[in-house]
Amino acid sequence: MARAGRTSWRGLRWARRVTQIASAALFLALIAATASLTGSGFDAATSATVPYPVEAFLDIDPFIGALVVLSTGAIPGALVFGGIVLALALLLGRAFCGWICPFGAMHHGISEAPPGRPAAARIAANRPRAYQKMKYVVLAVSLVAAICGSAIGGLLDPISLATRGVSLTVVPFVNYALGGALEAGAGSGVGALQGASDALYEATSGVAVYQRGFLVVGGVLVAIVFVAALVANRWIPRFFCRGVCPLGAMLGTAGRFGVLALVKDAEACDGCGQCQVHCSQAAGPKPGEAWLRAECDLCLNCVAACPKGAIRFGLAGRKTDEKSAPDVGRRQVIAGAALGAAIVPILRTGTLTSPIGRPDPACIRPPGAVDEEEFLARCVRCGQCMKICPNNALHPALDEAGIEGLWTPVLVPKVGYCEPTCTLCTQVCPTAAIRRVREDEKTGKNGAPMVRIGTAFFDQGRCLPWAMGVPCTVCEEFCPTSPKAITTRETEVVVEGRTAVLKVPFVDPRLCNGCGACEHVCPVRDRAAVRVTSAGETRSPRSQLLLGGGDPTAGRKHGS
Amino acid sequence: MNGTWDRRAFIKRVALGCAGMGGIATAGTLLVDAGRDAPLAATRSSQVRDFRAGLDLEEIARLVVSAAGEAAEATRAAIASLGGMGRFVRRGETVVIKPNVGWDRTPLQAANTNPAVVAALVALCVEAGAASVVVTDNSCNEAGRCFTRSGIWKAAEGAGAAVVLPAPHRFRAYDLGGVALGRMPVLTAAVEADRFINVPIAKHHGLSVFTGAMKNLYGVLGGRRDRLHQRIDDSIADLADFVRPTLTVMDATRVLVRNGPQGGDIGDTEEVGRVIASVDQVAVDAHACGLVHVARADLPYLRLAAARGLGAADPGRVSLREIS
Ligand code: SF4
Ligand code: SF4
Repeated sequence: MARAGRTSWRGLRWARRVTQIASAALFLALIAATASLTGSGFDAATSATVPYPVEAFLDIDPFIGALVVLSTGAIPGALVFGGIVLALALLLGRAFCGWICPFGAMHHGISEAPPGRPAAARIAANRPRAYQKMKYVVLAVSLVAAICGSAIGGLLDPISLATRGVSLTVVPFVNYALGGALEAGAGSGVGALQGASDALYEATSGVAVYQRGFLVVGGVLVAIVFVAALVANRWIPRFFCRGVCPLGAMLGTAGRFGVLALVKDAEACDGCGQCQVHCSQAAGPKPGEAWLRAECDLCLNCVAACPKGAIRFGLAGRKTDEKSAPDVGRRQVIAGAALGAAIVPILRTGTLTSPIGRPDPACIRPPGAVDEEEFLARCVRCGQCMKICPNNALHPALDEAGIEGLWTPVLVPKVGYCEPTCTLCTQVCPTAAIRRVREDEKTGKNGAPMVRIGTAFFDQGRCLPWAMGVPCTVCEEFCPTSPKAITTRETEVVVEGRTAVLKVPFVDPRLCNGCGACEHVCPVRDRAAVRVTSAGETRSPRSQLLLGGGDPTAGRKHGS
Repeated sequence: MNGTWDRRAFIKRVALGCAGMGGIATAGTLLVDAGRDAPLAATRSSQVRDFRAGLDLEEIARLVVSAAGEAAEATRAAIASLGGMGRFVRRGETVVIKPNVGWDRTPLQAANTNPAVVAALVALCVEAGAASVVVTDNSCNEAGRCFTRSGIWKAAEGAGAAVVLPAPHRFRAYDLGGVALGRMPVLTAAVEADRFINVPIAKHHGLSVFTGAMKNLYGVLGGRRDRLHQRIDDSIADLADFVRPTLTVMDATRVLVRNGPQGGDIGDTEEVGRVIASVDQVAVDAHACGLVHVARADLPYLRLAAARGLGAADPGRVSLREIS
């Protein structure tokens, strides 16, 4: 009887493993899919649209949904799926964590990967401890901060953290490694190796974008946090899930009146501790100790491991030795809430480059980004926009957007510029911090007012024609607007007493969309002679440059 | 042991130590970087790529301007008028076709070569028995998007070509041996074939005024192309000198008359409906610049190229044949 029961628990545990692996694989595939929107299978129209819901996992995350609902007072369309997950948690508690969460699956895999540790050490590591309370505090801080207008809780949301980590740490690293291998193969002079590296390139270029930069701006910090979260599993299994995860805290709290309970038979238990060896969440599975409902992720390890059939999941109802409310003190929650309320003004203190209320020149947001205040209320720092950008132009901010703006997207023209015909980043934002933008809005065609993300300024002291009398105007060649925002005029330039007549560049701020192409290509490579700042961005009244800037396309005419 | 010492063991140690030091010294001497004292490489030996070798093209020195129907048809008519693709591509040869795939633009914006012209040429090469046809370019914008949105990836593959995108491992240094251009990374796929067909589009350009056949050869270069503008006319002539195409087929079906070389608005283009073909790339440019309203006299690089014997800067010197 006991034996038969154990076999079926084992079958179910396999079902969980398969679900977990499938979910993690889907998660990675959706991230990879953002790189393959070009190729012979696409034409101009199809390559402009993201064909898969690459942000699906973020959409179903109720914690992200809650942040945005609290910070904006509106329910974002796609995030209603999060409601379904939350409803499921009312019935099944943290089953999402054990079965579906792709970040959970990564933690689980690393925790279980060999070499394993002795049983006694695992039992000690899996004992319920005070650090598990931390996640409830994280949840309280995040939710109250959201009420105060900041989506900063996204920093520790598991789906956001995993998307950001894979996109901005793993992918660049893989690119870097593959790129090195390709160059070595191609430069080897050995025909077979050269052929092999070319084949490798063809096979992987659809998934990995090769010019993607490695760890730029705030990216180093992204990598440190992501890697630390994964490595921590080797000391405390699923440490992030147990101690940090605000989504886990939320689902655990929601599952308080869940329908399943761990039913324990103290008589049958001989105290071998197998359940504790395998418990993934430190949820107290052993008869004699309290089962922590809000911690348990229904991984089924304990019931599958028990040689005596002394524990099983059954319908809740009868009083069992369990603790159903989250194991956290009221005082801690209140302190967390107070911190959440205090943290927003603290984080919004000015920095040197952007004192309070003044835009930072380097805070160039993606096209379609809403005005800064609302942007910070919505952006959960998932990194989707940064990952999908074909030019690798978007990067996680360090302090360009103030302290609060850590890891929000900023455009770094030196690395990549914003292609005016591309609207990919505007299609993948799960929280509408970047609203959808049509191509004609970016180019200002068909009567649409042009979306401008900044303005280019010439540094005439560094510009080759202006300062040195050397022909150049590469910036004019690359300026993609029509008519061009950069025009040239034949001008007499005096250099060392010699007069040269050559074309010098000017920018027309009414035509410039701030894409940064000019800064990107300027041959003055260290500090370009033309640079873009956030001045004049259409999303923000406080950044306006020109009087009557309401219609940036006013006065557009084809120049000659 | 105890207080006594073993002379033999001592000598052995000293010998080993000396041998070790000697070894390190020898290795150091062998491995030392001679770079410091080496003279700066002063190579000026051009590695010209002449894709006409073995063909007799003298007698077909003429310029064909074809307005025979749509892009593909006009292209075929132009090649037929030059004696058919078989004159340029022999059975079993490898061919590289170099269109302009510089920009993330769609065909109607006329910043890249018309994909139908490219596809027609690929098909003609395949029909002529080419062993392989490669279509490649080093784009200015992100290459994957340029090849996709120009329609060239799909069209070229559909016609039987292999599309090769630029990637860092696909470049090798060549010595262009020019007046302005020396050693530069070159897209290997673009210059490692038996035959090279240059397929530019006629466009306005802010600095060089007109970009056509010779300027299109920028696309075989990698590295710091941003400095070429500093001596743009010499650079263009150097390139035409380095790559001597078997054939030049210019797309002038729709041309970009302002805001070049990217355009961005259909209003920047004009429909011309022509395809121009010749073995003389200088003559092609000299003729085509008029289509975007640029005078030959405004193109110093035509004179520079002609002076090097690369072709005729005066199209009056080649026989013009118009087909409609
Ligand atoms: S590309 Fe740079 S150096 Fe050249 S003209 Fe423009 S600003 Fe000046
Ligand atoms: S940022 Fe530079 S390249 Fe882009 S539109 Fe403005 S002037 Fe042109």
